[in-house]
Formats: sequence, C-alpha cells, structure tokens
Amino acid sequence: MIFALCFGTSIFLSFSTPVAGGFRDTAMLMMLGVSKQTPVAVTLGNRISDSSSISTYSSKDRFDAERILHVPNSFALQSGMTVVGECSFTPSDSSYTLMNVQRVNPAMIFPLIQGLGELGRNILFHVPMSFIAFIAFLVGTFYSILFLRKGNLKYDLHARAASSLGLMFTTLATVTGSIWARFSWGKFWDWDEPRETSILVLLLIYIAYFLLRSLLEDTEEKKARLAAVYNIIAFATVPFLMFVLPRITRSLHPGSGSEAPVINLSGKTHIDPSFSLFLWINVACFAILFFIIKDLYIRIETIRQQREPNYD
Amino acid sequence: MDFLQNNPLYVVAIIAAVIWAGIFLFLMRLSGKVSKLENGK
Repeated sequence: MIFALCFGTSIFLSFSTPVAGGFRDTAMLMMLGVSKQTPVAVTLGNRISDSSSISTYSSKDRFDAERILHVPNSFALQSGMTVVGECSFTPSDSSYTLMNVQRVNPAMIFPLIQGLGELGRNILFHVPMSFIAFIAFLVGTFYSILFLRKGNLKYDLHARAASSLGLMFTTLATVTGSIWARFSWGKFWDWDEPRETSILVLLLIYIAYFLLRSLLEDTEEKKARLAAVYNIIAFATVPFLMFVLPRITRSLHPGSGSEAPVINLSGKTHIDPSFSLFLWINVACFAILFFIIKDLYIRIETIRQQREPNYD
Repeated sequence: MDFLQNNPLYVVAIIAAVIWAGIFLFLMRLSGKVSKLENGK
C-alpha cells in the first residue's frame, strides 16, 4: 500500500512538475528560429520601472543569470516570487517579456532539454525500463549459475521468472523508445540506428531462450540445464548489445560515441539533480515492482508444478 | 500525429500508458494461470 502510494506520487510528480529553462535557452532557441517563446523559471528581483500595464523587473533565472524582464501587471506578480512561464526575447534591448504564467513558486522544476522540451519527461519512464531490464537479465543469469552449481529446479524457476520479466521490460523500453523516436527523430524505427538494432537483437536472443524451453522434449532436469547454459551465454551478449555497441558507434541516442550515458559507471547521472532524483525514485519503484511480480510468478508456477508435475 | 507533435505531454502520457499496459498484460497472464489452477481443482 505504501509502495503503491509512493509510486503513484512519483508518477504524478513526473507529469506535474513544470519543465523550464533559463534566459539563455529563450534567446538561443529564438535566434535559431526553433521557437519564439520558451518556458523559463525566473525569480523576480527589484522593480526597475512601472507603467499602467507593464512592470519591469531585474530577474534571475534558475542558472542565476540576471536579465531585464517585462511582466504584464495583469499577472499580479510581486518581487521575490519564483515564476515559471513562457518568455520571449527582444534582441534590440536584450530584454525578456513574460508571456504567461504556468506556475508560481513551484516546489521543483525539471530542466528544459533543448530539442526535447516536454518530451524530456520520457527519461523518467524509458530509462528505468532499460535499467530494470538489465537487472532482470542479471538476476536471471545469477539463478541459472546457481542452478548449474546446485542442481535445484527452484533456481531454474527463478531464472525463468527473471528472464521473462527482463524480456517484458526490454520490449517496453523498445516500444517506448520507438514512440519517443517518432516525435524526436521523425521515425518510429530506423535500421541505421545502432541502439534500436542492438536492442532488437537482444530481444530475439531472449525470445529464443523461451522458444528453446518450450520446444525441447526432454526431462525437466535436462531442459533446465540446457536453458541455464543458454541463459548464461545469452547474458554475455547483454553488456555488449546494451552498453558497448551503442558507445562505439555514432547514433542519435544519448550516450553514443564519446558522450556519457544517463546512467553510467562513474556513478554520476548527467542530468539535472531534480530530474536525477525522480529518475532514481522511478528506478527504485520499478525495481520493487519487478521483484513483486517475480515472486508472484514463482509462487504461481510452484503451485502449478505441484498440481501438474508433467506440465512445463 | 500533428496534434501529438504540438502537444508533447500527450506523447509522454502515451509512453507511460504503454508501460502500464505492458505490466498489466503480464499480470493478466499470471492471473490467467491462477484461474486455470482454480478451475482444475
């Protein structure tokens, strides 16, 4: 119950927290002709001048850059308030104008990632999927090794549960990535994109694991032994297909070439701290969900095997 | 598609919905196994 509440709150905040950049984003995106208005988080400072309809403030954005900001009096804002709203840039006097107010004094702000905007929130859903998929395959392989060492069929059941969940999370990461690609890169699928191709190969490798299990007509012990060996060999490809191949090839996907990925071995997430906090909360929540579903899977399969010993 | 291009928050909502639909389908599969066990009593 507490877990469901935390997870629900995290997902709600993943959507409701405003996305905002700084003055520099507004000026840059306007100069590039991308957008005339950009969401900016500003803290209103001293009022410089006042007219019947517009007040001018010296304001600081979230990166502490101080600029002149014109604010319509109809917004009823005061000095000291932190506001998230769309701003436009006037190159002639290097001033900014607040066009609307989206949120006043927000508790948290997500960073504006240029070129992504609101789509940047997808990081909080897509990245945990990929990360948990890796954890699931790792857990599956761990149990396969345990099975080969100890020969207890319960470890094989754990391996099967973890790998099937790994397959599910990889499928979800692929589908969500594909939808995201359509709205960021223009295509659902591109065969020249190494990240997409490598994840498809990984999916096929793990689909083959389940096909192998279902097609073998042998004793449970032999089937489990062969599947465990296959699972360990399959996992050997996971670091290569998930981490190495996308790093050594050029790609539109973040983390390609020399660029550091979002989650990396240095232990630093290359994203804004507010984003990073929610990313790790979502990773933790999906990880807990993985272990809950895995446990459920094992309990159901155990009962089934007790009732139908010949069933696989 | 143009609507989604202009309202990216809906794209995020679709992605979240796809994830929950996937997890829900997996749980439905497990629920189906439980039903089979119950009927086999």
